[in-house]
Amino acid sequence: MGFDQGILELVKNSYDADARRCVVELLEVGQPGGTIKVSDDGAGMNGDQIINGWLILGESRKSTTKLTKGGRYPAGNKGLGRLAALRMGNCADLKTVADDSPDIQYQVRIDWDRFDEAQSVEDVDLDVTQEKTSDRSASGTEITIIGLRDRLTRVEVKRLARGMLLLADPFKENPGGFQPILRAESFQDLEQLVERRYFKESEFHLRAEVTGNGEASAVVIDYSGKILYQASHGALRPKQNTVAYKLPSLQFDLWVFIINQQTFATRTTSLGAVREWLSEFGGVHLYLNGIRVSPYGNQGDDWLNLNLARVQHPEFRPGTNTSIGRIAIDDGGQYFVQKTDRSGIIENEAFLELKAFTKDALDWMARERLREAEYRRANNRVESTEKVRRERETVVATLKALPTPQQIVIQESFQRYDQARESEASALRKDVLLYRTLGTVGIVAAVFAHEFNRPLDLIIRNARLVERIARELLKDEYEHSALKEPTELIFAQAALMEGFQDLTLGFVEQDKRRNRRVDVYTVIKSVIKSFKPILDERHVKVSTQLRPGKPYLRGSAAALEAVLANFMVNSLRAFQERQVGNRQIVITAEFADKRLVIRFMDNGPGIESLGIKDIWSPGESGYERGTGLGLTIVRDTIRDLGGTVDALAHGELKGAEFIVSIPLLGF
Amino acid sequence: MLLTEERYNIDTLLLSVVDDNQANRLTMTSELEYLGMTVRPLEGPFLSEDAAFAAVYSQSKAVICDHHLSQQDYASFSGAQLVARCYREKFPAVLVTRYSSDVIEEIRPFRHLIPALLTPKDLTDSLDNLHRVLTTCMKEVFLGQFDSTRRPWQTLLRVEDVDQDSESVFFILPAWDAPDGDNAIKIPLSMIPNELHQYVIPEARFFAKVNIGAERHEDIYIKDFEFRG
Repeated sequence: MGFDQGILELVKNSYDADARRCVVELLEVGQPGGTIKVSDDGAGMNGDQIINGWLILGESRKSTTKLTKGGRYPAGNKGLGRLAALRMGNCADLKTVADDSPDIQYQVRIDWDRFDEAQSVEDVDLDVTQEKTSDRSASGTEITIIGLRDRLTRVEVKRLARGMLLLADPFKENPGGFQPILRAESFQDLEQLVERRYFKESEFHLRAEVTGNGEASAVVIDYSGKILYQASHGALRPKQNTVAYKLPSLQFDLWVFIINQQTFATRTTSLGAVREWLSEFGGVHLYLNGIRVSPYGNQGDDWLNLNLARVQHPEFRPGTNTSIGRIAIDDGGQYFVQKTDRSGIIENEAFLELKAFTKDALDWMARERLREAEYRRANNRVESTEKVRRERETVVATLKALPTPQQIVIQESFQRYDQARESEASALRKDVLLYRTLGTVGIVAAVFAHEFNRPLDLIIRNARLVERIARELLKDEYEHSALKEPTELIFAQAALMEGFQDLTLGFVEQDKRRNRRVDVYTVIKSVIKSFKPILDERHVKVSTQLRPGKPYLRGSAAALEAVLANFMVNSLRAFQERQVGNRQIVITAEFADKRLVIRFMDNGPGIESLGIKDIWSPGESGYERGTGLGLTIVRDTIRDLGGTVDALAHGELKGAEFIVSIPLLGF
Repeated sequence: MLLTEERYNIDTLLLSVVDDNQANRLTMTSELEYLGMTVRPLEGPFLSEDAAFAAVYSQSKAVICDHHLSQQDYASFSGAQLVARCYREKFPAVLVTRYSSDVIEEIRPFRHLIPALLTPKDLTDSLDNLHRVLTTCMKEVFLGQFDSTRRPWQTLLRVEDVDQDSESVFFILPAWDAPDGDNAIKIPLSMIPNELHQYVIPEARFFAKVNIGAERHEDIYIKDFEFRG
């Protein structure tokens, strides 16, 4: 067992003795012969406890499930660790004052040399002496290990520091908290680490406050102390600008860490150490009138739903494994009431208001970080354009310095390269513009689709009323009347328009974009149903041959719909190119290993105007007014689903055929 | 109290129509009158839900109410809210709207107080259909007798997902034989009592009263949530 484990065992003993402070002093440990002293202000031990507890190895009076008097779950073990620590030196001294007899100090010295010389352990007497103390001392224990057999290395001391940190209450203000202190002159940075914890490794520090009159404010500071964002009350609760929080004055601090290799690459603190610390103490702790309230911020507790929010936006939201925080409230018992079983705070209006306040503060911070990221992204674009221009000027200037014959050759080469790059950039800019335009069209279509529905519905209903009244008046003559055909035409066209509206609206339903289990066959049938009015109008027959089963995958229904809808649109367009007479679309599905292979084929003219490899590229369209983006979207979407897509210019039905292979979660 | 009393005779029932769009009001009125009903379209505007209920109550015996009432400055509350108010006051009310998932979500918190939800076309499809809808509505409102699709059952629900952005929860209702096999229902988090919010995480299980006899997604209501740990 390493030195750090042994000493840590002594620290744990202090923790289990309900000590508030435990000081570990390392004296001249850089060479053999040094001294380690572990002293605490815990419950101490009386003579009986020393003889029948502390000196007995392999048997511990402590139960790991029974809490200490101070309400702590015991951290220490059955004594073997303690033995290892005590054996580190030539001898070990114990001095202790028990809380039930504060005027007596007990002492015992273990001289290991005597044990080494003895035949058996029983031959060595261990005297527990006692003496009256001059005053009624506070309880506590001091263990001194003298004459260390070996020196201590930095690696070992660092491990000790890390272990102490995992026992220490992260916030020193907690009167019931455990505060271990390391004193090691040769390792002052490690001293400070134990003192300050890992807060300085955080990337952001959010501090949000509520004043006595319910007005809130917040500020986010970066690791260097620079203010990044600030908000007043109105910015924090934008929807309810003037409404003050019904809360006493309080402070909410949250330290947010970026836990990745890249961030910690150049730091002396290891990523693993911080991660371990946050795993133990991460989350938001609640202090009410100076006392920490369980279970808020306990390991695994996420009372503010940080982790849920993080799932939605991992880039801008902290979770309990990437942040540690504290809410400190002084309410004089006016607002918050602890449950009688001490399992938390009664969820009255004040508690719910507190949760609303913390949510507002966290939402605000996320919004600011998002806004900043967008701003950086926009700036990067501007900067990169400028950078390209500058580099180009540099190349041109450098070329001018070359001898003339070489200059001419390289200049011509560079010009050709330049033109090719400019062509590519131009094509990309057009794509962006097209995506934006299509996006705007989509937005407008979605908004107005709702508006078109109402007059369309009225047209259909009034046409139906006219038909009914006409039938009533004309009775059998209606069937041969001049009213019948126009009325039926109104119904048919209105139904078609309804179909177009529903198709548009169907694609923008928010729930379809949610990542969840998607039943593939349900999506296929839904797309066919959505397109039915158009398919009927254009005399296209769609049939399916789906292998029995219920294949499903993890993704969004919208993604799969986008693929199938694009295939549908392609086929409908293709049918316009050439008369077929019997327009057909067939969709088949087969299982192969753990994948579903979907074939989408039609009996149109096939893919003829573009090379089969070119159809996937943005901007490449086989149609005069095509956007050239449909199959790009298909390709990118299938790729995101972990699948592949191929095309045949003339498939089984002689028209275009698309083969999609996607991995499934189940059948 | 029985529905055989004269005042509940559907043939002589005076219906009011509440809709912010005049063309809609006229069309609905014509359709209902064609089916032989006596109809009074209410012009509005209504400055409060109280005022709307008072108008409906004083001028008719049942109301056909559209859901969207705020587009033309007719009212600041929704049709679902007004129908729910009528239900509490034991006044028969039918909600009509063209369905979309957004509308269904808006209506969901009140669905247990809306005995009948249909599209305008379906409501006026035939006299039989209209009679059936009104009778079902009155039985529930006056007599507390639930149609098989409306009766609440204590049932287990499982949280499938929580969407923080829209503050919605997706529940799976294992006991519900959903029409397309998709027994997931999305509800706003606000429908769940505040004190239970901390338990709303994926895979958590709750009990609630649900009309698991419903045949359509839009008919499902969930109320009286319990968390038993």
